[in-house]
Amino acid sequence: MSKKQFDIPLLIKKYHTGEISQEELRQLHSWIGESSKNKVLFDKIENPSNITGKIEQYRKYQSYSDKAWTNIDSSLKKQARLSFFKYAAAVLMPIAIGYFSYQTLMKDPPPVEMAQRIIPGEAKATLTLADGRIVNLEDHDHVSISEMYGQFIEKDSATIAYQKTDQPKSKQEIIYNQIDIPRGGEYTLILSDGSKVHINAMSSLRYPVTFSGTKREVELTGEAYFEVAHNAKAPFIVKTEGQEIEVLGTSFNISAYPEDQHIKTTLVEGSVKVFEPGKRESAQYLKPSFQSCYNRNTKESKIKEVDVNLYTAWKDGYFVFKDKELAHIMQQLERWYNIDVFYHNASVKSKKFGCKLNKYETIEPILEAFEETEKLRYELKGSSISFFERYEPK
Amino acid sequence: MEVAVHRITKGDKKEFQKLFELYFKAIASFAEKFIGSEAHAADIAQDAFIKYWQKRKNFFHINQVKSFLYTTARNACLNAIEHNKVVRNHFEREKLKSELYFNLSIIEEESYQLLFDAIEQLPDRTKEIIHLALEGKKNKEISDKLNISNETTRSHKKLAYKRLREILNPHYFALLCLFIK
Repeated sequence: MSKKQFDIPLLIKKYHTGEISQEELRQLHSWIGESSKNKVLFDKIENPSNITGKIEQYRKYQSYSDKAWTNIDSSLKKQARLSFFKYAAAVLMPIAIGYFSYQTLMKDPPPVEMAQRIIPGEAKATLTLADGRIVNLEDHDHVSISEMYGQFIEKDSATIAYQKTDQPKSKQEIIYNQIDIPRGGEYTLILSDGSKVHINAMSSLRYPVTFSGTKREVELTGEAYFEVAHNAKAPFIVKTEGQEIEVLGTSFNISAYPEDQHIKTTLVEGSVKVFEPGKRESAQYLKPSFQSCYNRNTKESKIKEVDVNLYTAWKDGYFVFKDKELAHIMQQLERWYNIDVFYHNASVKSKKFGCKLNKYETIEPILEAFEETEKLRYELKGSSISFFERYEPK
Repeated sequence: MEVAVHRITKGDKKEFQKLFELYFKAIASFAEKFIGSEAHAADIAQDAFIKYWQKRKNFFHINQVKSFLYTTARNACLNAIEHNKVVRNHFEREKLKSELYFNLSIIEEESYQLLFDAIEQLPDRTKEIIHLALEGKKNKEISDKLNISNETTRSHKKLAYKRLREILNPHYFALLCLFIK
């Protein structure tokens, strides 16, 4: 069917411009002969009053076209920041690339506006509805998008909740929404079955407005903490790129940033199983306080017991690190704060720290805390942070 | 005019704009058939292009893109109709939902779009005059509206005829000329 949609018009056009070949003319006549509806359409297009009417109509849409492009252009600019984390893994790892030796370190970080304040993140996100319309959740204090789907979406300043439904409409096509959290954002989503999802910065979740009866499936990029409502009849499945996580009802954290080599699933309560897409038979089961660490490259999965707080504290407002390299810590902070980080050398990059930081603080006290360990020095210019060895000359 | 879809998958905004300018009017005009309102149709067309941009990584061929745009627009229209945003009687609703109607509508719109594009290849001034002539305006009206002399209008028209005769086949050209006095 789809081939005809674009081949026939071309034949019709060629007919009218005199470019049509014998073989093409035969095809065109064959199509016209197939059905009276086709003939009616062909005659309609041949009638110049219709083409002139169409030209008028197109001219009419020209002014809408200009306005529409202006709208699209500005929404593209906003999207630019949101989408790079999906497609450009390299951008998020300035620390890994190029800052190893003395020579490559710039004498000064790139010029930035001095007046820029580095504020912590906050509740912000954009919601993409099934028809492509984009809702900036920051802009509306109280949004109800009920007309679109008959689902009532309530919202307070940091949460968006879908109307609870028990009866799925069996024949209906599943409608998906997508929520995108930018750098420096976070949001809480309550799905139609009552499951709660805390979504971290630079992450996105694609989910059905209403779940079908037999399974509940969502797609995650980035990081989220799930509190899944129990439903024995419908397993809850989180799909990430590389791994799927299936649960019945339980609380767990998944970290699946596209630029990270590992997907980490940490179980707090309940039970989950993790497996590669299509390989449910070889699933691994997790118990509470255990974590599955899946390597995207080697496709190996390791399970170990962990201190769950290290992996879930973000949803409670803290960054908690235990014995982690500065580069790793700053990578997390860069998702939350609008900063660029530079390291004087490899040694400073790999210094290890343990800490519990309040993520709603501005960044300066956090940097001060690092300096107080006497392991390094920092310099803050605008939104650029540079880390130096303790006694290295500036 | 060819659009390099593979460049759009890489995020080439200029190419996307080219595609937009080429097809927005067709998608909007197509949507208007379903929902009857210009402004609503323009909105739906706009949203379809935004949705395509978001999924641009999946598209490699112009027909794929056009198919997606038409389908997205149609679904948005049907949604609006289903939720009584647009009043249609039952018989019309059923017709609008049919696959056959959908396919025929695309063939129709695409045919017009291609013809329109061929006429668009005329030089600007000539095009302007032909458009006005097609709207039924007489030479004098055209000259006044464009602030040019009657001779200029006439010579542009002659040029337009010449060019159209090059673009269109004799039969169609003759029919069209009946409308351009």
